Amino acid sequence: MTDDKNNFTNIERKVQSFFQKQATSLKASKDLWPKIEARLDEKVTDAGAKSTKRGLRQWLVGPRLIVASTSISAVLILIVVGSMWLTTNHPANITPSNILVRSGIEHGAAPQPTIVATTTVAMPTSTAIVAEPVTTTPTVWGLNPSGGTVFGPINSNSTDSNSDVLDTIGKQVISQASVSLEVNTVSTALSQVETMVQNLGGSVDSMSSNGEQNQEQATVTIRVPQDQFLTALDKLQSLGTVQNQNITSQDVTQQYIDLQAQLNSAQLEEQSLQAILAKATTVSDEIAIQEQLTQVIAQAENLQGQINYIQNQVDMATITVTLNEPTQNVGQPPSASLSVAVSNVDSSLASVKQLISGVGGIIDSSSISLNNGKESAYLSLQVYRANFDQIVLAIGKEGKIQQKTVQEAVTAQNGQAQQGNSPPDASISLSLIESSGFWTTTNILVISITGGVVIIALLVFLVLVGKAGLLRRRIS
Amino acid sequence: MIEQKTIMTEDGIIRRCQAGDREAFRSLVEQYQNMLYGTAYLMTGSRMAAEDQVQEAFLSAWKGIGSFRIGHPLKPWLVRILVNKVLSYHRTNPKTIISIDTDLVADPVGDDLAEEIERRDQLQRVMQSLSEEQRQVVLLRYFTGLSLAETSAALGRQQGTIKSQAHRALEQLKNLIEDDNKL
Repeated sequence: MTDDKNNFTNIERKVQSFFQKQATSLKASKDLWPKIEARLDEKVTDAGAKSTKRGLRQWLVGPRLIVASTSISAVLILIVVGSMWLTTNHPANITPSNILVRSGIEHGAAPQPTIVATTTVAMPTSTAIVAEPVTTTPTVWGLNPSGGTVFGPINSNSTDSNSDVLDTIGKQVISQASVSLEVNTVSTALSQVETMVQNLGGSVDSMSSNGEQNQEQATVTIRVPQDQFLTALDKLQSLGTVQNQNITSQDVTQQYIDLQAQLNSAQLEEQSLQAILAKATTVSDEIAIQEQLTQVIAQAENLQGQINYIQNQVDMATITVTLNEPTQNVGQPPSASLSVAVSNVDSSLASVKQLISGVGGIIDSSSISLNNGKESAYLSLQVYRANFDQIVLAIGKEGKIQQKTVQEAVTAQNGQAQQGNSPPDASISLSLIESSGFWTTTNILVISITGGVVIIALLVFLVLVGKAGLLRRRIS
Repeated sequence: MIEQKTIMTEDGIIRRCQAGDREAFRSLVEQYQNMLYGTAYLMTGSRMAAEDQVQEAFLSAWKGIGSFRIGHPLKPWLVRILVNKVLSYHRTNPKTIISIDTDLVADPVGDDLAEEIERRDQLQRVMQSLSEEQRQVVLLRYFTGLSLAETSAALGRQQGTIKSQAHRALEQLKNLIEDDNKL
C-alpha cells in the first residue's frame, strides 16, 4: 500500500515536471493585452451594470427574496384594493371630473373647502358658454335602512336643510326598483298600492293582472318622486312578504351634461342662422338658410326631448311591483316509480297483475322485452289512492328494489277527499328486471381490465426500481 | 512572509481593477496570461482557439471582477472562467481533436526545432492516451497547478470523481512514462 502510494507520488511528480517543461514553450502572444484592451474599451460601460445586476441577484437569495417578494405583493395588493375602493365607494370619485360639488357644513364640523361648479363647453361658434347649473337635490350615498343594499341617492331631510348653503349641481341619477310581493289578496293590495302612490304624489304607469281564481297575479309599474323612492319601497314592503327585491341606480350626469351642451350649441346655431336669414337678399340664399335652419331646429327639439326624458326619469323613480297570491294546493294523487329486480319476470308480472285486479286498479300498459338474454317488463298502473301505499309495498316484496320514487298525495285545500266514485288516479310505473348474479359480462370485463392495468403498473414499477438500483450500483 | 506580501499586492490590484483601473488589470493579464494560454492550448489543441478563449476569459473576468470577493485566491477563479469558456467552445465545436502538431512548430519558443518536435511528440502521446475528462483533470492538477478542491470547482465535478479520474489517468500514464526514459 505504502509502495503504491510512493509510486503514485513519483508519477505525479514526473507528470508535473513533464508539464513544466511544456510550459516553457507555451506562451501567449505578446499582443494579447492590446487585443484585450481594445475590447475592454468597448464593454467597459457594460461591466458595471452587469456586476450590479449580479450583485442584486446575489443579495436576493433565500429569506431576502421571500421578504422582498412578499412586501412587493403586499404593496401591489394594497394599491389595487385601495384604487378599487376609491373607484367604487368613494362618492367624490363617482362625480364626473367636470362637476365639482360644493360641500356643506355637517354636524358643526369645520367648513369644507368650497368649489364653485362651472362647466365650460367649447362651442362651434367659438364663444365659450358657461353651462347653467342644473339644480337638483343633493345626492347622498348610503345604505338602505331596511335591506342593507348599497344603492343610489337618498334625499334625506338633513341635507335638504342645508340647501341654502349648498350650491350644488347634484348628480343625475335614475333610480329603479323591482319588488315581488306575496299578498293575501291581489285586488286589495292593488288598491293599497294605488292609494299609496297617490299619497306620495306619484302615478301608476301601467297595471296588468292575470291568473285563475285563488291564484291571481298582478304587475304594477309606479312612478314616485325621487325623494319618495325609499318611502315608497318601505310602504310596499309592508303590504306583504317580499319575495324578491332589486334596486338599481344609474348615474346619467355625464350624458345629461353632454345633451345640454349640444342643445346650447344647436340653439346658438339657430340664432345665428336666424340673423343670417334676416340679412339674406336673394331667394336662393333664403331657401338654403331656411333648410339649414329646419335641420337645426329639429336637432334642438330632439335634444330637448332626450333631456326631458332623462329629467323625467331622474325626477320620478320607477318601481315595478309584482303581486302574487300564495300558491294554493289543488290536490294531487300520489304516484310512484319503481324498479324491482326479480328472479322470474313472468311469474312476478302475473302476481302483480293479479294484485292490481284484486284492488280494482287499471293496468294502463304492459310490455315485456328481452335484452342480452335478460327479460324485463314495464307496467303502467292506476290504483285508488286508498290502496296506493299497500300496492307499492306489495310490489316491493316481489324482489329486490333497485330504485323507488314515491310522490305523496297532496290534499286539496277544500278538504275534498277522493272516494269510491272517482276513478283510480294514483299512478305507478313499474319495471321488473330479471336479476343476475355477480359474474355479469360487464363485471367480468371491468375486473379483468382493472386487474390487467394494476399488474402492468406493478411490473413497470418493479422494472424501474430494479433499473435505478442497478444504476446506483454501477455509479458507486 | 513573502507569500503574504504577494497576496496583499494581488488584493490591492484586484481592488484597483474593481474601481475600473485598466492598468491594474493589465498587470493581472500579464501575470496569468501564459498559465491560462497553456491550459487553453492543452485543452483545445489549437493556438488560435486557445488565444481566443483566453481573451474571452479575461474579458469575462474584467466584467465580473466587481463581484470577486477579495481575500479569495484569484488563480482558481480565472481558471474556472477559462475552463467554462473552453468547455462551451467544445460544445459549439465538438469535432476539435487534440492534435498538438498544427501550430506549435510555426512559432517555436523553445531551444531549437528538433527539441521542440520531440517535446511535441511526447506531449501528443501523453494527451492522446487519456480520455477527455482525464485530460482535463491532469491538466488542471499538474500543469495549471490547481488543488483537488479547485480542480473540482473549476470542472464542476465532485472531489471524489476528480480523485478517481486523476488516479486512473496517472495509472495509465505510469506505463507510458516508464517506457519513455525521457520523461
